[in-house]
Amino acid sequence: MPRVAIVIAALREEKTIADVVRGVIKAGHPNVIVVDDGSADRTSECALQTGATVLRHIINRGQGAALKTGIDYALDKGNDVIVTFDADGQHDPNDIDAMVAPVAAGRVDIALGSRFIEHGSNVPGTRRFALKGGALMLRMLHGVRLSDSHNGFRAMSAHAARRMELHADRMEHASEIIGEIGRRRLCYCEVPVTIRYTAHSIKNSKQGSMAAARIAWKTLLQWVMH
Amino acid sequence: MEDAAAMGDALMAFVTLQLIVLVFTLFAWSRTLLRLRDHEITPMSFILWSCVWVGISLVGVLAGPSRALAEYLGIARPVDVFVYGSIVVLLYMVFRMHVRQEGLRHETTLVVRSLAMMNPKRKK
Repeated sequence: MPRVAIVIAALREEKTIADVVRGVIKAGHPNVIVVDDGSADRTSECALQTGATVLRHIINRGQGAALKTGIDYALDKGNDVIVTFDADGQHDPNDIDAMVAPVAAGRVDIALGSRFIEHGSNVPGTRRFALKGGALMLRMLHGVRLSDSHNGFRAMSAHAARRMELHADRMEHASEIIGEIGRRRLCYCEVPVTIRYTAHSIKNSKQGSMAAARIAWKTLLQWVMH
Repeated sequence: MEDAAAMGDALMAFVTLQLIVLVFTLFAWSRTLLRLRDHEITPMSFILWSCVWVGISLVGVLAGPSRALAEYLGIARPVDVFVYGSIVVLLYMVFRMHVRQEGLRHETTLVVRSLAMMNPKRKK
Protein backbone atom coordinates (compact mmCIF):
# COMPACT_ATOMS: atom_id res chain seq x y z
CA MET A 1 0.00 0.00 0.00
CA PRO A 2 1.44 3.40 -0.94
CA ARG A 3 1.76 6.02 1.79
CA VAL A 4 -0.61 8.87 0.99
CA ALA A 5 -0.34 12.38 2.47
CA ILE A 6 -3.09 14.96 2.14
CA VAL A 7 -1.66 18.51 2.07
CA ILE A 8 -4.02 21.36 2.92
CA ALA A 9 -2.90 25.00 2.73
CA ALA A 10 -5.04 27.13 5.01
CA LEU A 11 -5.34 30.85 5.61
CA ARG A 12 -7.94 32.17 8.06
CA GLU A 13 -10.00 28.97 7.87
CA GLU A 14 -10.90 28.49 11.54
CA LYS A 15 -14.55 28.00 10.59
CA THR A 16 -14.01 25.19 8.11
CA ILE A 17 -10.62 23.54 8.67
CA ALA A 18 -11.69 21.14 11.45
CA ASP A 19 -14.62 19.79 9.43
CA VAL A 20 -12.45 19.50 6.32
CA VAL A 21 -9.71 17.53 8.13
CA ARG A 22 -12.24 15.28 9.89
CA GLY A 23 -13.89 14.59 6.55
CA VAL A 24 -10.56 13.58 5.01
CA ILE A 25 -9.70 11.31 7.96
CA LYS A 26 -13.17 9.77 7.84
CA ALA A 27 -12.65 9.04 4.15
CA GLY A 28 -9.72 6.81 5.17
CA HIS A 29 -6.77 9.17 4.94
CA PRO A 30 -5.40 9.92 8.42
CA ASN A 31 -2.09 11.35 7.20
CA VAL A 32 -3.19 14.99 6.88
CA ILE A 33 -0.69 17.87 6.76
CA VAL A 34 -2.19 21.31 7.30
CA VAL A 35 0.01 24.29 6.47
CA ASP A 36 -1.27 27.38 8.23
CA ASP A 37 -0.05 30.26 6.10
CA GLY A 38 0.31 32.83 8.87
CA SER A 39 -3.34 33.03 9.89
CA ALA A 40 -4.18 35.53 12.62
CA ASP A 41 -7.16 33.44 13.75
CA ARG A 42 -7.33 29.95 15.35
CA THR A 43 -6.74 27.95 12.16
CA SER A 44 -3.70 26.11 13.59
CA GLU A 45 -5.44 25.23 16.87
CA CYS A 46 -8.58 24.02 15.10
CA ALA A 47 -6.52 21.83 12.76
CA LEU A 48 -4.46 20.45 15.66
CA GLN A 49 -7.59 19.31 17.51
CA THR A 50 -8.50 17.04 14.62
CA GLY A 51 -5.25 15.06 14.71
CA ALA A 52 -3.61 16.59 11.66
CA THR A 53 0.08 17.46 11.51
CA VAL A 54 0.24 21.25 11.49
CA LEU A 55 3.07 23.28 9.99
CA ARG A 56 2.84 27.00 10.57
CA HIS A 57 4.26 29.80 8.44
CA ILE A 58 5.10 32.53 10.93
CA ILE A 59 4.15 35.11 8.29
CA ASN A 60 1.91 34.85 5.24
CA ARG A 61 3.76 33.71 2.10
CA GLY A 62 0.89 32.77 -0.21
CA GLN A 63 -0.99 29.62 -1.15
CA GLY A 64 1.70 28.39 -3.55
CA ALA A 65 4.40 28.73 -0.89
CA ALA A 66 2.23 26.96 1.69
CA LEU A 67 1.52 24.02 -0.62
CA LYS A 68 5.21 23.73 -1.45
CA THR A 69 5.98 23.61 2.27
CA GLY A 70 3.46 20.80 2.72
CA ILE A 71 4.70 18.91 -0.32
CA ASP A 72 8.35 19.17 0.81
CA TYR A 73 7.40 17.95 4.28
CA ALA A 74 5.42 15.04 2.84
CA LEU A 75 8.41 14.08 0.68
CA ASP A 76 10.74 14.28 3.70
CA LYS A 77 8.47 11.86 5.54
CA GLY A 78 8.70 9.32 2.76
CA ASN A 79 5.17 9.51 1.37
CA ASP A 80 4.57 7.92 -2.02
CA VAL A 81 1.53 9.92 -3.12
CA ILE A 82 0.78 13.54 -2.21
CA VAL A 83 -2.70 14.98 -2.55
CA THR A 84 -3.38 18.74 -2.48
CA PHE A 85 -6.78 19.58 -1.08
CA ASP A 86 -8.56 22.91 -0.43
CA ALA A 87 -9.24 24.13 3.11
CA ASP A 88 -12.49 25.92 2.41
CA GLY A 89 -14.66 22.81 2.15
CA GLN A 90 -15.32 22.90 -1.57
CA HIS A 91 -13.68 19.54 -2.25
CA ASP A 92 -15.31 16.22 -1.42
CA PRO A 93 -13.03 13.89 0.65
CA ASN A 94 -14.82 10.90 -0.89
CA ASP A 95 -13.13 11.77 -4.21
CA ILE A 96 -9.62 11.25 -2.78
CA ASP A 97 -9.50 7.49 -3.45
CA ALA A 98 -10.41 8.01 -7.10
CA MET A 99 -7.71 10.68 -7.38
CA VAL A 100 -5.03 8.53 -5.74
CA ALA A 101 -5.81 5.30 -7.63
CA PRO A 102 -4.22 6.07 -11.05
CA VAL A 103 -1.10 7.51 -9.37
CA ALA A 104 -0.73 4.66 -6.88
CA ALA A 105 -1.12 2.16 -9.72
CA GLY A 106 1.69 3.90 -11.60
CA ARG A 107 -0.51 4.70 -14.60
CA VAL A 108 0.16 8.44 -14.32
CA ASP A 109 2.54 10.81 -12.51
CA ILE A 110 -0.18 13.24 -11.56
CA ALA A 111 -3.97 13.19 -11.44
CA LEU A 112 -5.84 16.49 -11.72
CA GLY A 113 -9.37 17.00 -10.48
CA SER A 114 -11.96 18.23 -12.97
CA ARG A 115 -15.35 19.65 -12.08
CA PHE A 116 -16.49 19.43 -15.70
CA ILE A 117 -16.34 15.66 -16.10
CA GLU A 118 -19.68 14.26 -14.89
CA HIS A 119 -20.29 17.17 -12.50
CA GLY A 120 -20.42 20.08 -14.93
CA SER A 121 -23.92 21.22 -14.15
CA ASN A 122 -23.24 22.84 -10.76
CA VAL A 123 -20.60 25.28 -12.02
CA PRO A 124 -21.84 28.90 -12.13
CA GLY A 125 -21.98 30.41 -15.65
CA THR A 126 -19.29 33.09 -15.36
CA ARG A 127 -17.02 30.69 -13.48
CA ARG A 128 -17.47 28.05 -16.18
CA PHE A 129 -16.55 30.59 -18.87
CA ALA A 130 -13.39 31.70 -17.01
CA LEU A 131 -12.25 28.12 -16.28
CA LYS A 132 -12.85 26.92 -19.83
CA GLY A 133 -10.99 29.94 -21.18
CA GLY A 134 -8.15 29.21 -18.78
CA ALA A 135 -8.04 25.57 -19.90
CA LEU A 136 -7.80 26.66 -23.53
CA MET A 137 -4.98 29.05 -22.68
CA LEU A 138 -3.05 26.37 -20.75
CA ARG A 139 -3.43 24.01 -23.67
CA MET A 140 -2.04 26.57 -26.09
CA LEU A 141 0.82 27.60 -23.79
CA HIS A 142 1.91 24.28 -22.31
CA GLY A 143 0.34 21.62 -24.53
CA VAL A 144 -1.53 20.17 -21.55
CA ARG A 145 -5.08 19.29 -22.50
CA LEU A 146 -7.47 19.81 -19.59
CA SER A 147 -11.17 20.38 -19.12
CA ASP A 148 -10.65 22.35 -15.89
CA SER A 149 -7.97 24.99 -15.53
CA HIS A 150 -7.79 25.89 -11.87
CA ASN A 151 -8.66 23.00 -9.63
CA GLY A 152 -6.64 22.70 -6.43
CA PHE A 153 -7.47 19.01 -6.06
CA ARG A 154 -4.47 17.01 -7.30
CA ALA A 155 -2.68 13.76 -6.57
CA MET A 156 0.97 13.39 -7.52
CA SER A 157 3.61 10.74 -7.13
CA ALA A 158 6.65 11.55 -4.99
CA HIS A 159 8.74 11.23 -8.15
CA ALA A 160 6.65 13.88 -9.94
CA ALA A 161 6.69 16.17 -6.90
CA ARG A 162 10.47 16.02 -6.80
CA ARG A 163 10.79 16.73 -10.51
CA MET A 164 8.58 19.80 -10.55
CA GLU A 165 10.37 23.10 -9.87
CA LEU A 166 7.82 25.29 -8.14
CA HIS A 167 8.69 28.91 -7.41
CA ALA A 168 5.37 30.78 -7.45
CA ASP A 169 4.39 31.81 -3.94
CA ARG A 170 0.88 33.03 -4.68
CA MET A 171 -2.18 31.94 -6.64
CA GLU A 172 -0.36 31.47 -9.95
CA HIS A 173 1.22 28.29 -8.56
CA ALA A 174 -1.70 26.32 -10.06
CA SER A 175 -0.75 27.40 -13.57
CA GLU A 176 2.90 26.82 -12.73
CA ILE A 177 2.13 23.17 -11.91
CA ILE A 178 0.41 22.75 -15.29
CA GLY A 179 3.42 24.37 -16.94
CA GLU A 180 5.75 21.93 -15.16
CA ILE A 181 3.62 18.97 -16.30
CA GLY A 182 4.09 20.13 -19.88
CA ARG A 183 7.75 21.01 -19.53
CA ARG A 184 8.78 17.80 -17.74
CA ARG A 185 6.48 15.72 -19.92
CA LEU A 186 4.82 14.18 -16.89
CA CYS A 187 2.08 11.67 -17.53
CA TYR A 188 -1.26 13.05 -16.32
CA CYS A 189 -4.97 12.34 -16.29
CA GLU A 190 -8.13 14.09 -15.17
CA VAL A 191 -10.44 12.61 -12.58
CA PRO A 192 -14.03 13.81 -12.05
CA VAL A 193 -14.47 15.58 -8.71
CA THR A 194 -17.33 17.39 -7.03
CA ILE A 195 -16.93 21.06 -6.19
CA ARG A 196 -19.30 22.45 -3.59
CA TYR A 197 -19.86 26.15 -4.18
CA THR A 198 -20.67 27.96 -0.97
CA ALA A 199 -20.56 31.67 -0.21
CA HIS A 200 -17.54 30.99 2.01
CA SER A 201 -15.60 29.03 -0.61
CA ILE A 202 -16.29 31.58 -3.32
CA LYS A 203 -15.17 34.44 -1.10
CA ASN A 204 -12.10 32.67 0.27
CA SER A 205 -10.74 31.22 -2.93
CA LYS A 206 -10.97 34.60 -4.70
CA GLN A 207 -12.98 33.15 -7.50
CA GLY A 208 -14.01 36.51 -8.88
CA SER A 209 -13.43 37.32 -12.50
CA MET A 210 -10.72 39.86 -11.60
CA ALA A 211 -8.74 37.15 -9.80
CA ALA A 212 -9.13 34.85 -12.82
CA ALA A 213 -7.93 37.62 -15.13
CA ARG A 214 -4.93 38.28 -12.90
CA ILE A 215 -4.01 34.59 -12.83
CA ALA A 216 -4.39 34.39 -16.64
CA TRP A 217 -2.10 37.38 -17.04
CA LYS A 218 0.56 35.91 -14.75
CA THR A 219 0.29 32.54 -16.51
CA LEU A 220 0.90 34.25 -19.83
CA LEU A 221 3.94 36.06 -18.41
CA GLN A 222 5.35 32.82 -16.99
CA TRP A 223 5.02 31.20 -20.39
CA VAL A 224 6.74 34.12 -22.12
CA MET A 225 9.65 33.83 -19.71
CA HIS A 226 10.32 30.12 -20.23
CA MET B 1 33.76 73.60 -45.76
CA GLU B 2 34.12 74.35 -42.04
CA ASP B 3 30.38 74.04 -41.68
CA ALA B 4 30.50 70.58 -43.21
CA ALA B 5 33.30 69.51 -40.85
CA ALA B 6 31.39 70.85 -37.85
CA MET B 7 28.27 69.00 -38.96
CA GLY B 8 30.33 65.83 -39.37
CA ASP B 9 31.69 66.18 -35.83
CA ALA B 10 28.23 66.80 -34.44
CA LEU B 11 26.90 63.78 -36.30
CA MET B 12 29.77 61.66 -35.00
CA ALA B 13 29.11 62.80 -31.44
CA PHE B 14 25.42 62.05 -31.83
CA VAL B 15 26.07 58.58 -33.22
CA THR B 16 28.51 57.93 -30.35
CA LEU B 17 25.87 59.00 -27.82
CA GLN B 18 23.32 56.75 -29.48
CA LEU B 19 25.75 53.84 -29.30
CA ILE B 20 26.48 54.48 -25.62
CA VAL B 21 22.76 54.58 -24.83
CA LEU B 22 22.11 51.44 -26.86
CA VAL B 23 25.01 49.50 -25.32
CA PHE B 24 24.00 50.54 -21.81
CA THR B 25 20.35 49.64 -22.24
CA LEU B 26 21.30 46.29 -23.82
CA PHE B 27 23.57 45.64 -20.84
CA ALA B 28 20.79 46.60 -18.41
CA TRP B 29 18.24 44.43 -20.24
CA SER B 30 20.63 41.45 -20.26
CA ARG B 31 21.01 41.85 -16.46
CA THR B 32 17.22 41.94 -16.19
CA LEU B 33 16.90 38.74 -18.22
CA LEU B 34 19.56 36.98 -16.14
CA ARG B 35 17.83 37.96 -12.90
CA LEU B 36 14.60 36.51 -14.29
CA ARG B 37 16.30 33.26 -15.29
CA ASP B 38 17.62 32.97 -11.73
CA HIS B 39 14.07 33.55 -10.43
CA GLU B 40 15.29 36.65 -8.61
CA ILE B 41 12.58 38.86 -10.13
CA THR B 42 9.02 38.04 -11.17
CA PRO B 43 7.89 37.91 -14.80
CA MET B 44 5.84 41.06 -14.15
CA SER B 45 8.95 42.92 -12.98
CA PHE B 46 10.80 41.70 -16.04
CA ILE B 47 8.13 43.14 -18.33
CA LEU B 48 8.12 46.47 -16.48
CA TRP B 49 11.88 46.86 -16.52
CA SER B 50 12.09 45.75 -20.15
CA CYS B 51 9.66 48.55 -20.99
CA VAL B 52 11.91 51.03 -19.16
CA TRP B 53 15.05 49.91 -21.03
CA VAL B 54 13.32 49.73 -24.40
CA GLY B 55 11.84 53.18 -23.82
CA ILE B 56 15.23 54.67 -23.00
CA SER B 57 16.89 53.04 -26.01
CA LEU B 58 14.11 54.26 -28.33
CA VAL B 59 14.43 57.82 -27.06
CA GLY B 60 18.20 57.59 -27.43
CA VAL B 61 18.31 55.99 -30.86
CA LEU B 62 15.34 57.50 -32.69
CA ALA B 63 16.72 60.97 -33.25
CA GLY B 64 13.77 62.58 -35.03
CA PRO B 65 10.97 61.89 -32.57
CA SER B 66 13.35 62.43 -29.62
CA ARG B 67 14.42 65.82 -30.93
CA ALA B 68 10.83 66.82 -31.53
CA LEU B 69 10.00 65.74 -27.99
CA ALA B 70 13.03 67.61 -26.59
CA GLU B 71 12.05 70.76 -28.44
CA TYR B 72 8.49 70.38 -27.23
CA LEU B 73 9.75 70.06 -23.66
CA GLY B 74 12.25 72.90 -24.10
CA ILE B 75 15.43 70.87 -23.57
CA ALA B 76 18.41 72.37 -25.31
CA ARG B 77 21.46 72.69 -23.02
CA PRO B 78 24.28 70.12 -23.32
CA VAL B 79 24.50 69.86 -19.53
CA ASP B 80 21.08 68.28 -19.63
CA VAL B 81 22.67 65.20 -21.18
CA PHE B 82 24.39 64.57 -17.84
CA VAL B 83 21.16 65.13 -15.97
CA TYR B 84 19.35 62.59 -18.11
CA GLY B 85 22.30 60.25 -17.97
CA SER B 86 22.11 60.44 -14.19
CA ILE B 87 18.42 59.60 -14.32
CA VAL B 88 19.19 56.50 -16.38
CA VAL B 89 21.87 55.43 -13.90
CA LEU B 90 19.48 56.04 -11.01
CA LEU B 91 16.85 53.94 -12.75
CA TYR B 92 19.36 51.13 -13.04
CA MET B 93 20.15 51.43 -9.35
CA VAL B 94 16.44 51.24 -8.55
CA PHE B 95 16.33 48.09 -10.65
CA ARG B 96 19.21 46.61 -8.66
CA MET B 97 17.36 47.39 -5.44
CA HIS B 98 14.22 45.82 -6.84
CA VAL B 99 16.15 42.64 -7.66
CA ARG B 100 17.54 42.59 -4.14
CA GLN B 101 14.02 43.01 -2.74
CA GLU B 102 12.71 40.10 -4.84
CA GLY B 103 15.64 38.01 -3.67
CA LEU B 104 14.86 38.85 -0.06
CA ARG B 105 11.21 37.93 -0.63
CA HIS B 106 12.25 34.53 -1.99
CA GLU B 107 14.72 33.98 0.85
CA THR B 108 12.04 34.96 3.35
CA THR B 109 9.83 32.20 1.98
CA LEU B 110 12.68 29.70 2.31
CA VAL B 111 13.32 30.73 5.93
CA VAL B 112 9.62 30.63 6.79
CA ARG B 113 9.37 27.18 5.17
CA SER B 114 12.40 25.86 7.05
CA LEU B 115 11.01 27.09 10.38
CA ALA B 116 7.63 25.53 9.62
CA MET B 117 9.18 22.19 8.68
CA MET B 118 11.41 22.16 11.76
CA ASN B 119 8.44 22.60 14.10
CA PRO B 120 5.65 20.28 13.03
CA LYS B 121 2.88 20.08 15.61
CA ARG B 122 0.59 17.18 16.31
CA LYS B 123 -1.95 16.51 19.04
CA LYS B 124 -0.56 14.09 21.61
